Amino acid sequence: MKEIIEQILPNVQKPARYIGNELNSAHKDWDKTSFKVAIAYPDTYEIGMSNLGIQILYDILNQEKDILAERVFAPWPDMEEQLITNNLQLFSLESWKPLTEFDLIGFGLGHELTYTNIINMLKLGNIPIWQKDRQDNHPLIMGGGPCVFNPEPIADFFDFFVIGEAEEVIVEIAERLRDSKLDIRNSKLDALAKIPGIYVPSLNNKVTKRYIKDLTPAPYPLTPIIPFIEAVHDRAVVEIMRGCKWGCKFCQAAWTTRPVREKKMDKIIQIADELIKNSGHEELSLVSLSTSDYSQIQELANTLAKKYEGKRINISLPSMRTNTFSINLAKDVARVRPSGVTLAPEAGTQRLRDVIGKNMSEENIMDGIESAFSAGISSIKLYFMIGLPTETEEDLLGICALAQKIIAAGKKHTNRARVTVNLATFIPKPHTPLQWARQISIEETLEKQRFIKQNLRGKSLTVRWHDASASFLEGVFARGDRKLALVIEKAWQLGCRLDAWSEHLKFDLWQKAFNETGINPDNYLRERSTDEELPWDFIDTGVPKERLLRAANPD
Amino acid sequence: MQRIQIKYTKGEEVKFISHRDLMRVFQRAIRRAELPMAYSQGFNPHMKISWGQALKVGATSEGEPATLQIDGWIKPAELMAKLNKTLPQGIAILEANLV
Repeated sequence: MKEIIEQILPNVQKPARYIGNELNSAHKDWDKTSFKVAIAYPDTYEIGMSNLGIQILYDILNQEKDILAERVFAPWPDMEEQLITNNLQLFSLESWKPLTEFDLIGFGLGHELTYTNIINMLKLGNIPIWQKDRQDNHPLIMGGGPCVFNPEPIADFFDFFVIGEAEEVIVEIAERLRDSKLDIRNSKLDALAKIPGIYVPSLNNKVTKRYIKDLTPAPYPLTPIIPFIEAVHDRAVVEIMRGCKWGCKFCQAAWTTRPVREKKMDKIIQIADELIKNSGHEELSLVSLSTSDYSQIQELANTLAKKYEGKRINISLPSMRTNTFSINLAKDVARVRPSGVTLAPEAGTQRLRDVIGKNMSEENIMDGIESAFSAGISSIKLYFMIGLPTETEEDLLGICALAQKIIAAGKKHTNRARVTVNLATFIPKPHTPLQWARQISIEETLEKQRFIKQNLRGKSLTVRWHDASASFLEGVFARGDRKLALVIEKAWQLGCRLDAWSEHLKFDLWQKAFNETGINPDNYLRERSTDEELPWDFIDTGVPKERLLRAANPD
Repeated sequence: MQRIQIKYTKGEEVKFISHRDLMRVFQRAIRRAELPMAYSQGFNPHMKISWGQALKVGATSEGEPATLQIDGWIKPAELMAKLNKTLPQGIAILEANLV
């Protein structure tokens, strides 16, 4: 196998995506390790390697003596072609072993538009895609990550899912499977379904999400893999907090990662030291859903900035609320002045921001903007959603007015002031107070995009928008049910791959897939009645449905 | 200020790494080794390293040249030992000499 792989690698773009051997990658003795896990991410190497969850699980598993974990990512079409032509199975990065030789394959699922890649990777791995067709000698297929808060559209492809934070339970799963004397698939699944947080679709069990009670002692990779090629996020990353105290009603991450947990400051500094030493990265990023809410953020950022002053390390603080405090802090700790700031007002008027629970007033926004321009920042990125519940033309015009106001404020400071307006289509997500809302159609999306573009013209203004058909698909699968598995299989058969890449998304083939399977996708975008049973109701995230309802309709 | 010329291998493990990526691998290894490198001036300072001709992707080599500019003073042997500890498998410094 090795010889053929060596021969095909020169024929593909970026062969380094497939070769492994990066610094800090784990190379365990294949024959002497009893339990073998493939950690799969159904998108390219660059995307998968930027995923913190993948690095955390890889590290936890490889710390165990009797377990080895290797990685596998979705091949680029040129590599897929080479694999097929040469009759090769998709192989892991570390040992170049085919997927069928692993005991467990765990997919990290971060985005609905990666679902055809799951099928593609299983097919290229010579593993039956339907759970019911797999035999006792096939690896078990596991899924986890943000998407599995509604796993139903892909449920029939998987043996089981981990709902919530997998680092809590991954070793337990591996041990349970390794020690299981029974080689029978169904008895393994019975055993797994008894572990809290595990959902086995073939058993339809109810499940409560797992989460780590205390983030400080939680395992964290101190020797992260350093990719040879540039990953999307090429930097040292310390997670400082999980959960978010704000109640934005559209935000699935905020509602599914509760409660808020902080990592202790001294532990963060200790991790940062190790990461800098072991990685050689020039940038250290403190990440969380809302970094400015970390209770000691100022002390933490300043301590790190001082510590690494002589080492040419830039400290970045993403996901900050843009206010005077945050801007000044970010400016103080950055070695290189940030060239831009990003703000997410999400809606154009105060009325609509109140409806969606976005706690940000126009005064807050303009204060933040003013400090940014005063700090010498000239470019402002604004994120808005279109198609929010109760939205009117006035709200869309509000987006334009706010952008104009910001540009006018900026021009007082510098002629170089620039504003980019990013328009995303609102997608109602499971387990949020807006999970019952209607999603707008492709036509409405295009119309609203056009309306804003027409009303937002100016030399220093740029409008960007999410592809309407991609948002449509994301919405269908986010709130989908088990019937959709047939559509995913059909789309794959018709040639859909890497749908999250605009250059690869073939929406006409998706339409054909819906037609041929007789499934009307519009049905999934409709408003849901509050007494209707939702496909994801069997998952308990810790926030009861009544509470979501109350948040959706405050009196 | 010193200039040290090195000769390094590009082995089987890394033969599919492009020249540009190899340069980043070296920069990271140098940072991990905490070598006293000279940096260029300007907004976005970078390490002063001059590279030999790029190897074809897929080709191995037993002796590729590069010259590192040092801000301060370090024994070439010490530089070689430190770097060999932080470089990934497949890349090794065979020689280091003052120029």
